[in-house]
Amino acid sequence: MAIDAKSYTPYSEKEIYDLDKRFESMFIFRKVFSELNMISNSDVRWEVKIHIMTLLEHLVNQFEDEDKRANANSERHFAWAFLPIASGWRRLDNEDFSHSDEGNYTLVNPSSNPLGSMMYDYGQMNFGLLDIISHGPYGMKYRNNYHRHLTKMVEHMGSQIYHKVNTSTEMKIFWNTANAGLGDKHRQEPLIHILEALFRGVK
Amino acid sequence: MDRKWLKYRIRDEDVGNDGTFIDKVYTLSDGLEMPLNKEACIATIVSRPFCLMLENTYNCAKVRFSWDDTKDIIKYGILAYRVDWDWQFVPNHYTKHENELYYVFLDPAKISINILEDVLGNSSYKNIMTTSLKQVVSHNPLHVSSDGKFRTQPSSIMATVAMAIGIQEMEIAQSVRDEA
Repeated sequence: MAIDAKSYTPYSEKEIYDLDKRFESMFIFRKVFSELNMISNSDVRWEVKIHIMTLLEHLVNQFEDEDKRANANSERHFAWAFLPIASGWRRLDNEDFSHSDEGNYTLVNPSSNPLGSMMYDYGQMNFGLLDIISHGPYGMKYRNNYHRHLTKMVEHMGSQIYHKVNTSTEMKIFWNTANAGLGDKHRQEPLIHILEALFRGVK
Repeated sequence: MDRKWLKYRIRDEDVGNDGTFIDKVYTLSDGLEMPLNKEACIATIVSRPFCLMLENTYNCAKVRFSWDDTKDIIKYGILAYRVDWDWQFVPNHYTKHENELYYVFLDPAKISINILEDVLGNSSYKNIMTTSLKQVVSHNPLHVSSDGKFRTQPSSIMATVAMAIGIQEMEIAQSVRDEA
């Protein structure tokens, strides 16, 4: 029987269970990977779903690694700026982008900076999701240090957007508000399904 | 020769408290003009090219244009909307807010840091000479960064509010301090 590529997920059940636990231990959202994995492909395109799960997996891995480094050295604080997601994003600059006559920016060579590219692909959705995660499930009064580090990382990365791509004062920069920037205005907002998956475990 | 036979008088309403003429329009960078009186302003914002909504609901956001909050800031190219936000999926979610002020910049690149400080009352830009600014801002804690500046990064809540207002492309501009 042929494998339906669109229903295939690169994560095993055990991996998803493990990621759920590790993500919850940091950001307090429960069963996020399980819930994301169960979103129907008609609600959120398969490649978008996998992109989000991969991004969150990188986030957990990098936060854990940085946490270990910070704990191993009493003189070293948790340095969100050195996380590969943040440094990959920081390395993106004008020369990495080309722009079309229609006004779209594309990355010239995504493979040269995979983590910077990962944050740029579906960028509006990434920023929207990480922003909400950084608030924690119960709001800003009840955040832990991981939420606070993520908040600063997302704010810092967001403040660089304009300068990454703008080379001319005559050029205006916009981000699409419709449909999380995914282009198809007639689909229901996929970010709604993703945020519902994020919060289903804490309802 | 007497050439003083033709007289004029400036109407009081056209002169500000500092003795200068009050502008009747706000001029955008591309030459478009936004009238500063209520009826003409409303007629302009609902027309092309702005095509903004006076009242609308989109997903979790319910927006209302507020002339009372706009009348003193329209001369800086700023519109004020009152926004209710309620995410039905999680009752009483911490993001819920009502009647919150959101500001829309007609021409974000013309908004100086001085305007953010003096007109919108954001005091977090002390000693800052340039900053990024997005087209819609709010003082709600969801939309200000850890240091109090208006957030620049894409946000799902702000995107939904912008869609409700009728902004499908949110401009990010550079704001500079007007040293003059």
